[in-house]
Amino acid sequence: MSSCRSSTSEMRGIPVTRAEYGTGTQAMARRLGRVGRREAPVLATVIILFGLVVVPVLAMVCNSVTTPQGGLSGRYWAEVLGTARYLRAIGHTLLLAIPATALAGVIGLGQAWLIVRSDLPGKRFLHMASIVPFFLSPFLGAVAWGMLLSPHVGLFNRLFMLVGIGPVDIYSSLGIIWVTGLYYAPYVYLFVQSALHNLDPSVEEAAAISGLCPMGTFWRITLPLISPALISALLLTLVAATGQFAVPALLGAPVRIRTMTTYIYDLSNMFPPRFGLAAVLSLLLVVIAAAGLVVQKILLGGRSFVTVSARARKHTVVPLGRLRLPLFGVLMVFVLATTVLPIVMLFYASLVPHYDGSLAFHLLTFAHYREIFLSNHLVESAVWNSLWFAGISATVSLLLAVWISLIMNRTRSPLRGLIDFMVTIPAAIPGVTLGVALLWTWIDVPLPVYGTGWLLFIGYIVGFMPFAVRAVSSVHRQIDVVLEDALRMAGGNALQRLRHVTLPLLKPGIASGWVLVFVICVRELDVPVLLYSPGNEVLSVLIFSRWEDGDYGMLAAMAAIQIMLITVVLIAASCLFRVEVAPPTS
Amino acid sequence: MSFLEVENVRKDFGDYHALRDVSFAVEKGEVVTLLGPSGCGKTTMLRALAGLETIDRGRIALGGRELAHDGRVHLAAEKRGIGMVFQSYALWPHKTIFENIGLGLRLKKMPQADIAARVRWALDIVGLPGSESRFPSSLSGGQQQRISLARALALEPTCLLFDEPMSNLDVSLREKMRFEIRTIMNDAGITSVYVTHDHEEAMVVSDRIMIMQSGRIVQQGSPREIYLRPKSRFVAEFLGGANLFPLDVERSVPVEGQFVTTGGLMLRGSPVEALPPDPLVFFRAEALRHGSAEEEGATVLRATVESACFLGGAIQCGLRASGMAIAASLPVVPEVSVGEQIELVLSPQSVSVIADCH
Repeated sequence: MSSCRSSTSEMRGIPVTRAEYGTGTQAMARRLGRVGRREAPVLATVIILFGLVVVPVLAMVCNSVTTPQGGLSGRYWAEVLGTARYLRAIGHTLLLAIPATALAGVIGLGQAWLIVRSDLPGKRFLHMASIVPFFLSPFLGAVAWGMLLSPHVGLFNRLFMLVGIGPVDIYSSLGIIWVTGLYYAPYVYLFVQSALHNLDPSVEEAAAISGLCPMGTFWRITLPLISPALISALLLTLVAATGQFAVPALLGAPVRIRTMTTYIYDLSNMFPPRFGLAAVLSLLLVVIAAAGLVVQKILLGGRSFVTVSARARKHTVVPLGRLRLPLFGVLMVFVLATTVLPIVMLFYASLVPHYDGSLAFHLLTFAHYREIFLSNHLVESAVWNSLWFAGISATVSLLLAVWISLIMNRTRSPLRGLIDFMVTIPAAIPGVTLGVALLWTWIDVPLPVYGTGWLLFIGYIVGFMPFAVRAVSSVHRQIDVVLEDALRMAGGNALQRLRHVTLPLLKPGIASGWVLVFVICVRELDVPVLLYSPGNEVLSVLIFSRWEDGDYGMLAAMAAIQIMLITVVLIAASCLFRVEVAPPTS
Repeated sequence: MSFLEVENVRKDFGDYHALRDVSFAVEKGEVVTLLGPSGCGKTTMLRALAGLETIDRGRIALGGRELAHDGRVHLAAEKRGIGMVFQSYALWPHKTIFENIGLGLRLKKMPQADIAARVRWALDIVGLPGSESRFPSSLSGGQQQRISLARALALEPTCLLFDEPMSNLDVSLREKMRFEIRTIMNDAGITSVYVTHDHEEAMVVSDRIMIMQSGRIVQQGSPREIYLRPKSRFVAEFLGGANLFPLDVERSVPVEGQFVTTGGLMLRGSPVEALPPDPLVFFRAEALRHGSAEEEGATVLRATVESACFLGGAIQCGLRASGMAIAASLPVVPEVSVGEQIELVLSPQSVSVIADCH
């Protein structure tokens, strides 16, 4: 290296004395070598993340401005922004997302305040029940509600008609808003309840001493203080509701209610696919999501923690008086609506030969389950595929997450900011969009990825690894580095420190991160719906395709199996690791 | 050659000079303390000794072995054979006391039976025998700090480092633990470097104190020397209860021990050959005594009591004499009250002249 440098500077005719020159470059080379050796693993991580996360976004941008012949063109943008049906879809997307977010906000805020602050009975149960819809997923929620309130075979509609109302049609904008609101409420609930928990009780006690009544305290003290958490929860929900595919695809598409995501799906799935238009719609979605996330980050970043007390103190419980039981009843109605009725509906439909909206308990049969495990290899393999893909994706995500967390929390690498940024990008990419972006990225890569299970696997990793990183990193941040220093002083090298100190202390984060990613992979439809290939069908994809065929009995059986899978894993996790898995907040 | 040698060590964090040029030596078996306010570089120096921090310039050697040299040589912390007791105890919360103490021995491949014996030995030394199967969270702060010390001792380190080990303990426990640590260190005879910002703690535990200020050692000596003969305003004030007055050079006769402050207060002290630049007259608050004693050459001060604060062991007074504010720490008997005129004596041995800056 030294000789090479010296010849160039001689060529440039820069007069440098030998001695000066030698020590200078040697020292610099030594320093560069040292920095290089230290940064090499970090750089490798940056490159892998770049390939997984950034390249698909670039592919999206590329597709939106190039023609299939390879020329640069703005015609896809012009077409999307100049065609009434696409503009209507954009408008529709927002008109569905905003009221759904408002509904989720009202439910989540109400649940949080009642559960944290009031003297409601059964709070522990209500807390768990408020989170369950997240695990059940908007997708299965839409499936179940689609069956409960279908105008033709809806169980509820049969009842309504008996008393002379209805039918209520779930296949409508209101239906989509209802299901979305119910199943995104857990995000708002978790944000607000943790903000309420962290609020210094003395702030509210001071309000009471100053003569404010409990309602006045809530409106004038509590609500303003938790508003950063509430607003950022609403923004996250809005971003998720804008980018969701499952609910509008199940409940909107059959009646020609089109959103951006269902258009992206259709445009990519038609023959020949119109990727340019899908790319423009995808980018618009990403821009909306990114804007929401940036605003949310600013809101949370600017939040001061003055009202958060370090000492855990008991909050005063607000007595509800005569409203106690009625309000408990309201929350129980939500539990019925989000969890009990849908699950009962799905299990019932899976146990009757042909679901047609009537109650026929004398006909109950395991025929659908028997078919799945004895004769229908496609569905049986989908059960195993779901398990395998979720298990391996969760494991790989967690390995990556621990590695990234080590870089973020235990090095002073200047590349940390870049890694942090790249890990947050997937949050701004809706599932269907991620699917198309990955299709475009890997279609030209000369590796056996496109058209194989690897593509789906990559989709799961890119989409959900950030949850794992957050789960691990939030625990890692709380581990004092001095605990690792202490083992160094006792003679432990880097690997021994990892094995004896860091990993055991990270275990809660690793366990909850693994379960979270596993569950999300099993329940998720938006990512695999475009990425699966023949032989790699997963349960959610098959449920979706049976929905289009109207094969309710079979899809209900698959949904029931999916619910049981998730339940078993959640229960096993809480028994084995004593971790309570919750949807990601922040 | 000393056992532990630190020569011209420098360390920068960006533009911040944590260590500017630190040199000192520690003999085998000696306990020294790095004492200074927060941000003076004492913890950085300790971490550099431990190997948890690299140095930019200078040299550190222990028992003839070079640990660090000019940022080129840096022996990894885990290979130095140095023990450390941390401010936050740093006990591993997921391991029992036995595992906490025994892990280092296990990594050294010591047989299980020997580990058990060594753990028992270490627990005996710190006075917590039989606590092997407990978890750190079930122990009090003081007990946790003893376990931390036991963990360091069990490895039989060549040198032991203490990073403000008492600062998380409450006052009464801290005072008790000081003496215990001193006793344990004397019995074990391990070369130790102790870091603290508490001068009383430093005086109890150490053979020698090194005062640090802005990344430099400004004075070192026995606790007695440091307290009674500080070399600078900083050292005098850091150890508490200092009376410092600018000297009127014209009117003073240093060789005869006659000092006059710029405020006109006349004090008799030990004769001084040459005055330092910016000289200050210095005496400690507790050097003042009641009485009009006939001691040879003693200064007699007539002062008005402006404030008096009863502390139990002493009365802390603010006095005014010849227009100058003086701090005094007087015996509880006789009682003094605000506004009272009192007569105090000051022995010439207690009065010295120091530099305003080092």
